Amino acid sequence: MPAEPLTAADRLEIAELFARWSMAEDTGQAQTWASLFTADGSCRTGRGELITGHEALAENSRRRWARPDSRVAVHWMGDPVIIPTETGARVQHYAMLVERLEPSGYRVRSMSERIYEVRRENGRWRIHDRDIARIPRADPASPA
Amino acid sequence: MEAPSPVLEDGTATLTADDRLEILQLHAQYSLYEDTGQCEAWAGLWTPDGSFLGKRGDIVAGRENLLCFIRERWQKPESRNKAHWVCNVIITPAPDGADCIAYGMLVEKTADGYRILQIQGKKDKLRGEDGRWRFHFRESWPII
Repeated sequence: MPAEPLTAADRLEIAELFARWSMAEDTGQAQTWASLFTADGSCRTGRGELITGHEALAENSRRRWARPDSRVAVHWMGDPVIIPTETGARVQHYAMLVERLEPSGYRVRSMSERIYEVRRENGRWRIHDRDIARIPRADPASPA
Repeated sequence: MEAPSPVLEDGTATLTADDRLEILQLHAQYSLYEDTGQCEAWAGLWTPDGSFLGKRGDIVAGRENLLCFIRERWQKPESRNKAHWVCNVIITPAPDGADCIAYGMLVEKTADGYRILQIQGKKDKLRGEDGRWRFHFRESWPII
């Protein structure tokens, strides 16, 4: 089955998914964050754990929000690359986690590449699968 | 709007892809004009009765006052070594136009590099006037 072309409206809605991800995750809105996924959606966390389904996703988000280090950092999402696929779209973007320091200042805690499969469900674009890789990939300690 | 957007039963206008792209560009223009001292262009991004809530709780209202504000800001040397970065823009249709939330980061050039000076949430009320989207009201909120 060939990939369906995406309209400008599709691309804008898909791009906004990741803004909504940031806003929900950075403000502890676990249920809102989980609802960005399809009912059977899954998320590979930065710690390598695979979480599947709305309930498990929401619970994971609540656990994350309970950690003090989650409340002093925000997600800075880069522009997404959106490629149509047979089932929806594949999306990749960079992200930074920016942390507030005490008594003042900020620092970039981590950078990652995020890879998604997104699908239309009940008329809205949702995340079916999310994977993550740290960037830059090269280990500075390794020889070139 | 040149071509009025469809209106829902509750009076809220839906937003077209063109509307959303123009609103995203409005945010990009805001940073560019503020960071390069294009004061008239910056003030032109607001409705004539536009206003924002300042850091000290003061309101700057009306395009003339906004223009005075931005000119005064640009006169200060410390305003010229900073750049605004915006991301995570979420646009929602509203009865009188659109509501928008976003993240804003202020980065300062220092003697030995760059540092993040501030991270804030931005909350906007936008209106379509004379065929263009404009800021009607803007306020900041602490994300972290």
